Amino acid sequence: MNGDYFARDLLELGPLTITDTLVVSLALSVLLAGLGAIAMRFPGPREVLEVAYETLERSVREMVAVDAGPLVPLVLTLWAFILSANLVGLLPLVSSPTRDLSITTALALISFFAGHVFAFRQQGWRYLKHYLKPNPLMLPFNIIGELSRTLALALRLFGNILSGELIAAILLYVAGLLLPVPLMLLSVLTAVVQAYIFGVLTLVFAASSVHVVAGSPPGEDGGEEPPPSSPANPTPTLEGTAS
Amino acid sequence: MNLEPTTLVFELVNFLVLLWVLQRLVYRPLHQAIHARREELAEERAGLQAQREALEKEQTELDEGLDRLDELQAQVRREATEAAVKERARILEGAREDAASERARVQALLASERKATEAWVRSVAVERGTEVAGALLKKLAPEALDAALERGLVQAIDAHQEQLRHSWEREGGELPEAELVGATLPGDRAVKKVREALTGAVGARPRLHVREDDRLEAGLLLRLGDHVLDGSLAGQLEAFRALAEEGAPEAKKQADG
Repeated sequence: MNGDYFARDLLELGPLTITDTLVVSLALSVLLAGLGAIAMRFPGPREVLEVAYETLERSVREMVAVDAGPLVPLVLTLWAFILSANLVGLLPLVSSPTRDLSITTALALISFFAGHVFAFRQQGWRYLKHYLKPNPLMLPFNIIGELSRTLALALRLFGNILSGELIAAILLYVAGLLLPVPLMLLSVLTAVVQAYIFGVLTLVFAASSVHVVAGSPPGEDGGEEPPPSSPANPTPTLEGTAS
Repeated sequence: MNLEPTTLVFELVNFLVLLWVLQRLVYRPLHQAIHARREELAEERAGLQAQREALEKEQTELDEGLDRLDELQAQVRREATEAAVKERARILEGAREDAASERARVQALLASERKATEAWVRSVAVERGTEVAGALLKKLAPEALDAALERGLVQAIDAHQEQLRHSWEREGGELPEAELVGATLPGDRAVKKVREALTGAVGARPRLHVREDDRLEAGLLLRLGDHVLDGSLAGQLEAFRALAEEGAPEAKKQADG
């Protein structure tokens, strides 16, 4: 099962190993960029993109209390890429890139660094002070919390997508052709929800970092989740759903 | 399930490139278009707001103008009411004066009518009274009536001697000819009395023509030249009527009319 349901090596160029998920990921990137470029050339699709962009941008801005404008392109790209990566696995003979832990980790690292870059641009070096709160002894725990949050982000997406494909494959093996169809519909729902969760968590972690430094009481600084009064309240629910 | 560094690095690069490409080809143009549209909408909204403020200002001015018009209307109405009251008083005063003058005119007319009616009634009463009196005298005492009328004629001849003489002299001084008219043919005694009286008046014995005229009703009428002495009942009654009606000549006219 390892060769079938995890990333398969397609090519080895010295130390470089090209997997099928990486190829699909590259193809998806080219496809998304191409579709975006083509859609921008025609008035109808362009207007649809404008409406979609404006709607998503407004929803992103309404999710958090800070000005998340610089994060909007990242979140939208994460939603588009992860959604397409999740759904492409439903096609025959095509591997979903998000069932590869390397790719989800790459996305989680991007999310991690994007949040810190965003917070650093908002707050400057003062941003790093929150690692020392409520006291400097909490520095290791705060770093572990940041890393575990990023690791959880990668594992959540990887685990959900891989488990969905594994269950579909097992049922296909055990019960034939028809039974996996409802599970594939469930996979579509899972794909949408996981893409949404990944983007929202990226946004919320970045916004909560700024929020923590900017105005939260000392007792809440070390918290990993956003404060209850934050607009990012759905985060625990979403994580619970995702888990 | 192992973490593949090559895939991880490639995926990092891949996603960042994708983000950069989408940012360049899609997000930035969309953001600029949306921003431009928002600015356009904001400008349009500002323009509309300015128009709205201008319209509100105009509305305020119109309201003030309406208020002024209302005040002017009230003032015009007040002045018109006052003028109407004055005009009404003037018309009423004129009407009262007209009514008073008309009433005076009607009262004068009624007074004249009353006078005319009274005169008419009196003339009618006198006429009927004289007719009745004449008829009664003729019926109850014809001889005394004739004698009284005859005596009256003789007295009249005596009273008009001068006039009778002048009338005879204008005839040329010949033998006077007189005409004696009676309601019935006068008797000898009456003719004789009249002749004697006439002779005494003019100084000559007249030639007297006698004839009958029942219109005289009773008594005698003497005509000498252009002078007439009426001693008949009709003449006496007529004289009485004239005497009675002398006080109301207009009434007489109206009654005659």
